[in-house]
Amino acid sequence: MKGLLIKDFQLIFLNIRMLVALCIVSIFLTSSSTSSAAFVISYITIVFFMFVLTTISYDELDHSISFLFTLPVSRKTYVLEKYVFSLICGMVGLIFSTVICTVIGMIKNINLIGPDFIPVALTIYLMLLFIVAFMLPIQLKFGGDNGRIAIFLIFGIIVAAVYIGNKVLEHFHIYKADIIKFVQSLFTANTALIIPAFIILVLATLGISYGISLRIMERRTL
Amino acid sequence: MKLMINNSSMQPIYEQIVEQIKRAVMTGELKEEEILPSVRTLSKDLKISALTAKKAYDCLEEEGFIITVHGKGSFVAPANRDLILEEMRKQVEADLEMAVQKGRSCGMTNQEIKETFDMILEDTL
Amino acid sequence: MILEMKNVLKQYDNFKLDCSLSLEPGCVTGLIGQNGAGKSTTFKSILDLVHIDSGEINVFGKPHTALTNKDKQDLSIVLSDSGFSGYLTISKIIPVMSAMYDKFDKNDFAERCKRFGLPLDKQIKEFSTGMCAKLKVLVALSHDAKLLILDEPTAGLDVVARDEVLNMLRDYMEDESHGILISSHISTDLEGLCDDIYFICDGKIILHEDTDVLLSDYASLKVDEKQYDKLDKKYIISVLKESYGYRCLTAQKRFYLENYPGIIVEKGSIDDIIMLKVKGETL
Repeated sequence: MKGLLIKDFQLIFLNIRMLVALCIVSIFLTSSSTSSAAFVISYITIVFFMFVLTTISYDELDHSISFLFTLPVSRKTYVLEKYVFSLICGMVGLIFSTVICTVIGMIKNINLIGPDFIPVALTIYLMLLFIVAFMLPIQLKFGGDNGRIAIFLIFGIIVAAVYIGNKVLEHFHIYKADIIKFVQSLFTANTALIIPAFIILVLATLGISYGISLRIMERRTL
Repeated sequence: MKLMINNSSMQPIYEQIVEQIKRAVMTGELKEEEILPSVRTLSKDLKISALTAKKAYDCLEEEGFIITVHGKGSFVAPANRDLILEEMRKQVEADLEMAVQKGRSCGMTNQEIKETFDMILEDTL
Repeated sequence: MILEMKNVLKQYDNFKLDCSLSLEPGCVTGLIGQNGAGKSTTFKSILDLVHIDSGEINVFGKPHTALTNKDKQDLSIVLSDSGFSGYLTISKIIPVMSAMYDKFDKNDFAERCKRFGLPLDKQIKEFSTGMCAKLKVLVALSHDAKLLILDEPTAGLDVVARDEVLNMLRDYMEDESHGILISSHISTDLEGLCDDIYFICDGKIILHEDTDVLLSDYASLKVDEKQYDKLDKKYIISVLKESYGYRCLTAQKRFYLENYPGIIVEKGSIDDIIMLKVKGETL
């Protein structure tokens, strides 16, 4: 797996210009006072999480994925490496954006990062992990460009479902504000329970996602 | 010892090798106990399959021209006068056969061929 | 036996692969056939890139699905249509190879690349066909593998480059524990390297013979109508109608050389054998 990680990091660093642009964008975003640290950190972290999708596209190009499996690499190793790679990238993105925010905060003498930052950062990380757990099997199944389209579609469907769901609930006189209040009450009421439960949920989703990805790769002809 | 293979000859490659090595031994170009290239090296140099090279060496060993010591390689066997003579006799026989076939293919009868042969024997006395 | 394929079956929509072959250590075995005959499918099935429907494939004595990553270190495959991502350079793939193979010799590999004129810092997608082919073979030879499986390694190469690649393979075979399974449709490459050759056509093995028997005992006879009628067909394998009469394939060249001194007897070349077996009528 180490070899695969080296390869994937090299592929990502090929786009060094894009990374630099990303840094500049993130600095610009945090500098503008209208954005919150949480938003910037979420945005940058999800972009870093998405790098793994790019590596899958590179593998699909010119069938180099067939070649990869002639190396001492099993399908299990390949899938595991993609998850590990995304976890690492996400963490790097999280730390990087946090540092940017802290530095900008110090310059502008505003404390963008509150004392309760670590739980907030971890929550962001876990929520984005949740999203990645959905994206990876889709990308592995449909590969490259089709994968991206598939992800857009699925997210589109989810957003539409939420919107329609909302309208339906409104019809039954259950309003958005009430739902939010309800969720917030859950949070404040049982913080001790909620956080471990949330972690378990994300890990379970990740586990299921890994299992599905593994099955997709086992079935694939290269 | 430089071996040369004629890829477009009707003669099988291993036979060509056997012949050339035998000749080298008989003319003394290959000395007694001299080490021969390994099967692999031979196949590489002549650009032939290793099996062919092995076949040639096996044949030479069977006829007593070389000895293969496992792990050490193949060596030219010590001179055996009778062997060499027998080999030369075999070659004469082959040459005669070729002459007869040639004669036949240009329409000579057995009688004509025999007459030509007798004539040569007398002339070269 | 380092490789054994027994009754391997794979069914596609309009193609069926049905083949058995084996490879001993110290041997170079060739697989020759037309495009689409099933060579690549055969090779891909060995590493389970393509799942077979039935049959057995044993590599180093183990079923091919039971090969661990450690076993795979002793194996090298060169596929005709894929390699490392074209966006990488040789210097980038060196650390990847070092991480994957315990026996990867970094310095030797870099040195060989230089010797063959392969630039270390150019993206692979900028390489010419010849350079790509040489790189793939060098990568395959870089980690002391016991078994090389090469799918058309010399395709698209000019004569000089082909010779260089074949010499690399001959050097590799100096170690008797090594084995090579190589496919090509350049028959002269196989004639000068392989110990035995399998002929594959439409997914089936139609002939398996030692190379030197092919070159010494097989022949193609060119005869006109009259000669054909008088010909003893006992040793004729297949016949192809030509403009001058008939072309026949035999595995007993000497019989026809001796008994029919008038007819044209041509040395058996692999190309002829394929043509005659595929297009000819079997007797």
